[in-house]
Formats: sequence, structure tokens, C-alpha cells
Amino acid sequence: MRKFTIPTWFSISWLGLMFFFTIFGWLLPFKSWTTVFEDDLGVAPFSAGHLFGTDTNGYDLLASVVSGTRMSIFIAITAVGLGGLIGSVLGITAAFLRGKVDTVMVTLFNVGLSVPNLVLALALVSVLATNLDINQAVPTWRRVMVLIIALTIVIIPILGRIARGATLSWSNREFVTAARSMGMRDRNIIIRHIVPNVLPALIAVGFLAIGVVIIAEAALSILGVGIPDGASWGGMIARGRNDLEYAPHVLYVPLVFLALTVISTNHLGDVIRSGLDRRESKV
Amino acid sequence: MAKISFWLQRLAQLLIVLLLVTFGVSMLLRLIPVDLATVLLPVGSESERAVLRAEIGLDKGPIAYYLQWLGDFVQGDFGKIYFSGGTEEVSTHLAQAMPRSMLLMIYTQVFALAVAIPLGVISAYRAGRRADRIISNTLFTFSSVPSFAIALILIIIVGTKLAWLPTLGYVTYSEGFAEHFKHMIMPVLALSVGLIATYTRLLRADMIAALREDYVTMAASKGLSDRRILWRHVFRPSSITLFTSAALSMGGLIGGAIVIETIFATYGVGFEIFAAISGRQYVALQSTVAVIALFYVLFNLVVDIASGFVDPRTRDRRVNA
Amino acid sequence: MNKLFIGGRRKVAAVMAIALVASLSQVTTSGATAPSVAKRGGKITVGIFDSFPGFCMADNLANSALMAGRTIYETWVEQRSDGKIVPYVLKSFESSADKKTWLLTVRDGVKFHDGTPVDGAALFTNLAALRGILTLQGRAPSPGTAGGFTANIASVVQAGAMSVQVTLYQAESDYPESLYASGRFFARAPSQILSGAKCSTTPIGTGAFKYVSHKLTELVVAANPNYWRKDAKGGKLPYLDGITFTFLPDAQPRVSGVKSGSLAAAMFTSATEAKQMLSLKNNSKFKTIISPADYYGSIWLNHKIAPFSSKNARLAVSHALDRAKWLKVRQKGLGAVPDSIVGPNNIMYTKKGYAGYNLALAKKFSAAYRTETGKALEFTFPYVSASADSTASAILLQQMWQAAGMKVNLLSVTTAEAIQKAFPMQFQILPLLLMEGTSVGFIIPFVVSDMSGGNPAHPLAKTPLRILYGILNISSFKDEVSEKLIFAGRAETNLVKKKKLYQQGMQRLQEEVHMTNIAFTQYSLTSNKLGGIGKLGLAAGGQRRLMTNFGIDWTGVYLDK
Repeated sequence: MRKFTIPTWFSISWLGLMFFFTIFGWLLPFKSWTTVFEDDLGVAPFSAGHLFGTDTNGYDLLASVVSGTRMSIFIAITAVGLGGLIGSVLGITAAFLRGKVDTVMVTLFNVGLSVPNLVLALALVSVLATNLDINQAVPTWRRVMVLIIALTIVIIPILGRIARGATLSWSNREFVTAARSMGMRDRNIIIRHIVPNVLPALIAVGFLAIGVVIIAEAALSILGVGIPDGASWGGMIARGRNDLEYAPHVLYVPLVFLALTVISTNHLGDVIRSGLDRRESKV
Repeated sequence: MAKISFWLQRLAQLLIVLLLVTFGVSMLLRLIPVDLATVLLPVGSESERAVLRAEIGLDKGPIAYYLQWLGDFVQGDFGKIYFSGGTEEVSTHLAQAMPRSMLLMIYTQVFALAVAIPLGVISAYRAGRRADRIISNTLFTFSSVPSFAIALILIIIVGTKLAWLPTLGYVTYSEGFAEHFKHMIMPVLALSVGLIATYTRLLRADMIAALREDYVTMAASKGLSDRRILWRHVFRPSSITLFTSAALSMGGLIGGAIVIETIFATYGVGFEIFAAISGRQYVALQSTVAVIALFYVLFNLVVDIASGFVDPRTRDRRVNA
Repeated sequence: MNKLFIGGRRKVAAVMAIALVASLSQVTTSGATAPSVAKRGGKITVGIFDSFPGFCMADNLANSALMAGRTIYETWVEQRSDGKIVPYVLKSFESSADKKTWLLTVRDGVKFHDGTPVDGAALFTNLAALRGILTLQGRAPSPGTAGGFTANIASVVQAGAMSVQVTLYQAESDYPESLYASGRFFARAPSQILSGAKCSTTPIGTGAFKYVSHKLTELVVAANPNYWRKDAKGGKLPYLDGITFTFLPDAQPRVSGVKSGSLAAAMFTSATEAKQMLSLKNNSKFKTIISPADYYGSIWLNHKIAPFSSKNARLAVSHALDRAKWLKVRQKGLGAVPDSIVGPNNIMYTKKGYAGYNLALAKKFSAAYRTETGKALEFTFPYVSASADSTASAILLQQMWQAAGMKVNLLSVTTAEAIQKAFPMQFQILPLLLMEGTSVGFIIPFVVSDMSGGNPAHPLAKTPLRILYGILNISSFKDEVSEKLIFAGRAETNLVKKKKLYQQGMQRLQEEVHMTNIAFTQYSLTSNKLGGIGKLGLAAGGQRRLMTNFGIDWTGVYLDK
């Protein structure tokens, strides 16, 4: 194992911290992000009692951003995890079976890819988050679900295509041919030989995809189709844009969290990929 | 001969993809658990809604609805936007919005390439040295800041604090070249930062690989100047990947433009999408998404053809990818 | 109709002070820099926060869009800065002693943009359209809510070439207020009214500007070369060549637009934009004028369905609203804490019976609701999510109610949906700014169940349009006690007695919590390099109100480069 560089260490620690916030954030002794501090409206960072300050509505930004971490990371990991799982199953199966299954799958991937990401997500969210009874609001958990589903659908063809490509190149290798000639069953070949080899490439792209999803969630919030009453980074940015002139830190705090996270996932994705390239060149 | 049938096959594939995309969007609309006619005509009477249902085929099954929509779409009838005071043609909106968005994309791409190419060449030439490290790290950081954040910060600093540039709207070049470009600078900057980073990285990686090729060593041994080697022998072949990637980034650009066009109120296609969604104008949404998919797919086809002619290897690579 | 609000409010002294300071600072700045030499020509763009649904009777232009519409249209009467209604496109109005018959006479020499004269016949056609008579005859589109506003009219006859006589069912001592409808009953050309579907898309008025084009998000107007009013020196009006009004739902683009010079002016509402208003007001580079807090946004409670059919639920909701906190957090201190459904400038204002903030009481009534129905108090609160500020407001309201033990779901809607489902009311609860002004003309229609006063001979009485009588009462209640008091007040000519009747009516409305509120609203307009705002006098003498919910009068405004 090569020694980790400083940026790599930083990325790992930052993502670790974000992960910690996601799982244990609610246990930490922070203020409630829903409390309005009416005597501290829009106070600057490092004020007494408010490490990151408050926004002009009096919400504590440290509490908000920790709670936002939970929502944004949860959405990103779930969407990429699900999308990656479904995409890779479809991609690997398609590449392994070839023939008609492959043609259908490739066409479906192309369908998904021919609508720009954000357009697809926007359309899906706006359609799925509509309710029959007007006095029946779409509850927050369902909005989150819809958001995750929409982003998953966006991710599936991206990772599916990568998985298919990787499988195609691996399934031509000698050891696969050998396994097949020894009468090994397809399922076993896939699990034993294909998946372990395809997985690293998928993880590398998966890290990049997490960044894409986090930004997409923020963009959807800015367009007013995010999660209305739950804090997420995107929701904070959407609310902070009107504060930019009066209390700029309201925008900068969630933005720094978002940017550092995206930098970290992008960097780790790169590190994994270059590790793979080295391994590839040795094969 | 083989080539022609290859392209015909490719065209057929695209057609199928487009049909499936539009069909998918159409199905999605029919999935909405509310009556579309009521959504489109909230203040209309029941008889007006009945007329509307018949007009756009909502009274038929989903497939018949799709076929009617497709028939209209092919003939250039993209449906209408409904509000209490009447209707507006989606095609009129798009006719105004398309050129704006196209210009925005073209300016963005040109600007991004114009900045990325020198940066990429320098960082490849000075790979591992300080110039390379500064360029690469700065761009890497910038590429992680979403374009809408850059837009918001630009508006505050350049627009309101310094009052150098207008923050809103679009001016056609017939109304004045200077004004036109003034209105475009901030949207283009916001959109191109991410692209510049991507292009520079790509070009750098490609050029470093090309620099290791034998013919470069050969050229160097022949005593050609660094500059000549760099541009003729290294940049030229590397640029194909760059332009292909520029073409592929159009999808992301269209998405990013939705937010940017909304923030700057330029009334481009991205803004139309946003307006259709926030105003629940589902017919307009369906047609606009179809137009975007159409352009996107056609654009990719053109890039395929172009790069296929330039370098047959690219074609094979792309087809197999 | 006004627009979905969320906010606003004040106290006499505070508001007067703000209005005074605002108008003074305005007078001093323009007085100092421009020795009132109006410059001619130029086109400008103005940022507004409402869109343009259309221009026919039923297309209600909301606040800032109404400002734009009023460059094309003018009202028959106009309100002076002291609140008095004076003739405008009309030359005069006179009433009989019993205040049931009113003779309206049109000004000579005024022409519509299509060249046709404004005369008695045109006024007659306008009134018939507003009342829904032409709709019944199949000659004009629906009057919309105007049918409710005019339901007290028993008959209209053309009395002469230039005049009509209006007979009311119940006496109205201030009928011209009803004819004003808070700046909404325009002189429309009969050719527009009778043009069918084009009525919505091609406005033809008498105003200083003519219609050029419009979209949902934009209205373009150009100077009317034959405008009837002249400036103080007898010069032609208007000064500007044209105006483009652009719909920008979020406040920040309007702020940056004015600051960067993209916009010559922009309008704001304190309902959600107090922060921006105050910041611009304190910026000496721009001129900001702020209206008084005479706009009484309400939270309407639907009496027809659960949970607000229960008085316990209504009391709980009203007592849970911490108006002082709202003032501080959402209004940034602009205005004052409301202690009545209407503001102190209004003739109906009374503190009696108002269910103000009291968390203990809110919890008590919330618990009482549970005992009464066996269910927890739960409802869905609709809000327009297009703007970041309205979302923040909705969340704060939700939290106040949750603190008192209620369960509140937020429902994001578009403005069009909100309006559709408010008339007739289908939501459980809805914040909507409807009531306004110092008098009752724009209050009564929203708090009585039958605007015709039970007139069995009203032309709409036996038709489906009858629904319009009570459609504006979006809380959907019938309260005979308050209705009787309010109608008696409207007929009364003795001002002291009138005021007493109105206040008793208001007290009853507040005791029954037929609606509640969180804040009153103010509007502001910030301009950059514009002169002449509020300088042009009214034809009948005196000044128009400087700043209202429908902004300023653009006729005398010029570019001050």
C-alpha cells in the first residue's frame, strides 16, 4: 500500500466526520436547528453561543449544518448505493449475457442518459411528489423518498454503463474463459471473478457520483423542489441566498461543508482510480 | 458501404432512444395522481376542461395520448401554456428561449476551452512542477464549488457591490453588442468554471501520456522546438478527446443552465423548464424535455460523425463504450 | 385580489413615523438634486413580484402586477392621500338623501386607447360586466369576484349621454369606495369587454400608457400619445416612452437588479421582504418609499370542514401565534404587533375580543379540541414555495403551532392553485392578504356571507352565479350578528354611530375567531435615477396616495440621468 498523502488523509478524515455527524449528529449536544433565537438574528460566526453564527431567521447555523449533513449525506449515500447496486446488477448481467438482453439494457441506459441529469431529476420529483387530496401535504419523509428515487434513477444508467464496460473487458480475460471451460456456473463466475474486479472501478465512480448527487440535491432545493421543512445543505443554501447581502456567512457555512465534501469524494475517487490504473498496468 | 449501414444503424438507435424518452416522460405525466386538466385550468369551468381534455388527448388512454402528442410534436405543435387569462404557445416560448440558451452554451464552451487549453498545455509541460501544482489544485478546488454558488457570489460582488455588470435579463445582440455581452459575462463565468477544471485535467492527462510516446521522443531528437512539439505533435492528437468530452459535457451544462438561467432571469430553455415545473405546466414540460433530449442526442450524433471522420479510433472507442 | 402573504403589521405612531420619514426623505432627496425639470423620453424596466394572469374582469391582478396594469387602466374614482375618494375618470358623483341612489357622471373628452369616447354607455357596460349581467347574457366573460363586490347594486340605468344612475339594495353612505374597489374597478373599453376570449389578453383602457405585449412574466407598455391629463405646465403626459414590468418572484434579484442598474425600480412587500426593504431604505443611493401598514393579511380558517368548524381549534390556532416574535424575526421590527384583525387606521379597529398570543390558552384549546373530537388538532398549511422567504415564514408558523401541541403539515402550492382553491375555499387554512385600507369597502366583502344582503330580486339571485355573493368570504362562515352590525354601519351617516357599529361587528368577528392574523403588511418601491414620483396631482385636486399596495402612479415619472 502506498503511503497516503496529506490531501488523502484530509479527505478521509473529513468524510469520516461527515459520516459521524450523519449517524451520531443527533446525539451531540448541539442546539436544536429548529429553535429560533429571536435575540440573535443573523449574528456572525464565532459569536457567543453560536460557533457558526445564526441566519437572519435566528436559526443556529452549527446545529443546522450538522442536521443538514445528516439529510444530505443520507440522500447521497442512499441514492448512489441503490443506483450503484441496481446499475451494476443490470450492467454486469447485460455484459455477461450479451445478445438481446444487452441490446435492451444499452438502449435503456441511453434513454436515461439522453435526458440531462437535473432535468430528469426535476421532472421525476415534480411528478412523484404530488398528492391527490389538496389538504394532504406530501410528508417530509415521502419527499425525501421521492428525492432519493429520482436521484437513484439518475445514477442507474451512469453506473450501469460503467459496470457493463468493465465487465465486458474482464469477461474476455483468460481466467474467466478458463472458469467457464471448467463448467463453472455463470452466477458463480460473476460473483467470484467479475464482481471483485469490477467493484473498484465502480467505487471510484461512486465517490464522484456522491458529489454529483449532493450538488444535484442543492440545485433542486434552489429551484424550490427540495425538502421544504427539513434542513439539508441545499435547503440551507436556498434559504441563504436571500441573506447573502446581509449576512453572507449564512450562505458560506453550508457551501463550505458542501464544497469540502465534494472535494473529498472527488479526491478519493481519483485516488482509487489511479490505484486501479496502476494495478491494471501490472496485469 | 459498411460505413453507411453503420451510420444508418446508429441513426435508428437514436430514433428508438428518442421515442422511448418521450414515451417515458409521457407515461410519467399520466402517473400524476391528479386530473391534469384541473391542474392546467385551475380557474376554468368543467366544460372548458372537457374541451381541453379532448384537445390534448387526456380523455384517451396513455398510449393514444402519447401518439397524439407525438403527432403534434412532429408537426411543430408543442402544446400550450395555460393560465387564467388565456394560453401561450410553447413553441413561441421555445423559439425565444432556444437561441438564448444556445448562445449561452456556445459562449461557455468557447470560453472554457479558450482558458483550459493554455492551462492544460502549461500544466502538462510543467507536470509535477510548481506551475502545474498551482493550476491543478486551484482548478480542482473550483470544480467542487457548484456553479450556482459561483453565480450567487458573482452577483453580490460584481453586480451589487461594484455595480459593474447587470444582474438580470438578456439583451439580444441586435439591441446592442456591448449590452448583450455584458449580460452574458456572469452566467458564462459561473457555468464555465467547472468545465475549465475538467478540460484542463483531461488535456493535461492526455498530453502527459502523449509526451511519453515514441514519436515525441523522435521529434525531440530531431531538434524540433518544444513549442512546436507541444502544439503539433502533442496537443493535436490530444485535442480530439478534449472536444469529445466538451460535447459530452453538454448534458451537464444544460442541467447547470437551468439553475443559472433562473438566477439571472435570462428566460432561456432552462428557465422554461423551471417555469413549467413550478407552474405545473405539464404539457409544456413534456415538450420542452423532448426538445432538450432531441438536441442533446442529435448533438452527440454530430460529434460522433465528426470525430469518427477525424479519427476512426475514437469512433470505435465511443461505440464500444 | 391581493396575493398570498405571510406577514406585515404595526402601531399608529410607528407607521405614521415610517410613512412620514419615508415621504420626507423622498421629498428632500429629489428636491435637492432635481429642480423638478421633467425630462422626456426613455424606456425603463421595473421589477415586480406578481405575474400577469390576464386583463379581463375575472383576472385579478395582484399588488405589483396591479401597479403595472394601472399604467393602462384608470379607475372611475381615485383615493386621495387623506383617504377621501374623489372623481377621476368620472367628473362627479352625487347621492340621494337615503344613500340608496347614486348618480355617476363621466368626465368629458376622455378617450379609450382604441379612440372610442368614455361616456355614459361605456360606464354602463362596465358596471353590467362587473355585475355579471353581460355574462348571463352570454356577451362577456365571467366577472369573477367582482360579481360579489357589486352584489349590493339592485339596478343600473343610463341617465344621460354622460351619466348612469346606480340604485343600491341596502344604503351605502360611502358607495364610491365600493366603486373604487381599492383601485381595481377600471374604465375598460366596451370593445374589450365584449371581445370574448380576447378580453383577457388585450387590455384597452384610458391610462397614460398603452398595451404593447405581455406574457405571464412580463408586461410591456408604451406612452399613450393622446393621454387626457397634462402636467402642471400644461405639457403632455406621460414623460417616459415605455415601461417593461418584469416578474421576479424572489426578492434578491430585484435588489441586485436595482443596485446594478438592470432595473430602474423594484417593488417589495414586507410580507416576506422586510429585510430587503429596510436595507434599501437605509441606502442613501436609492430612493425608497414605504406605504403605511394598511394591508391586513389574514389567516383564513375554513368553517366548512374539520378542524376549523370547531371554535376550539380556531382559538387554539390564534392564541398560538407569537406575533411579537414574528415581528422581530420575520419583519425585522418593521411595523407593530397586531391587536385586531384590522389595523389602527381602519374605522373597524378594536382590540376587543381579539385572540392574541397566549401559549397556555393555545394549549388549553388544543386539548379541548381533542376532548371535543377525540382527535388531535392537525391540519395542512399551504404556502407558495417559489420564494426562499415564504418558505422560511411557513416554517416559523408551523413551529409556533407545533409548540402549542398541534400537528401541522406544510403544503407547497403555486399562486394559481392557491387562488383557485380559495374561491370557493377548499383548503383548511390559508394565509391570504385580502383586506385593506382605512375604510370598509375592501373589508366587508370578505366577512359577510351574502353581499347582496339577501336581495331576492338581484339579477343573479336565481342563477348559478349566485355563488359569487359569498365567494369572497373564504373562511366560509355565516354570522348573522356581525353581518347585521356591519350592514347597519355601512348605511349609517353619523360618523360616531357608524364607527361604533363597525367596531361591534369587528369585536364579534374576533370573538368567534372567524379569521386570525400574524402581522400587517407594507409595500415599498425603491428607484434608481427616477424623478417625479408622487409629484403629479389628481385631476380633482389634491394628491394621490404616494405609495400603496399597487405602487405609485407612473404617469408623471421621468428618467433623471
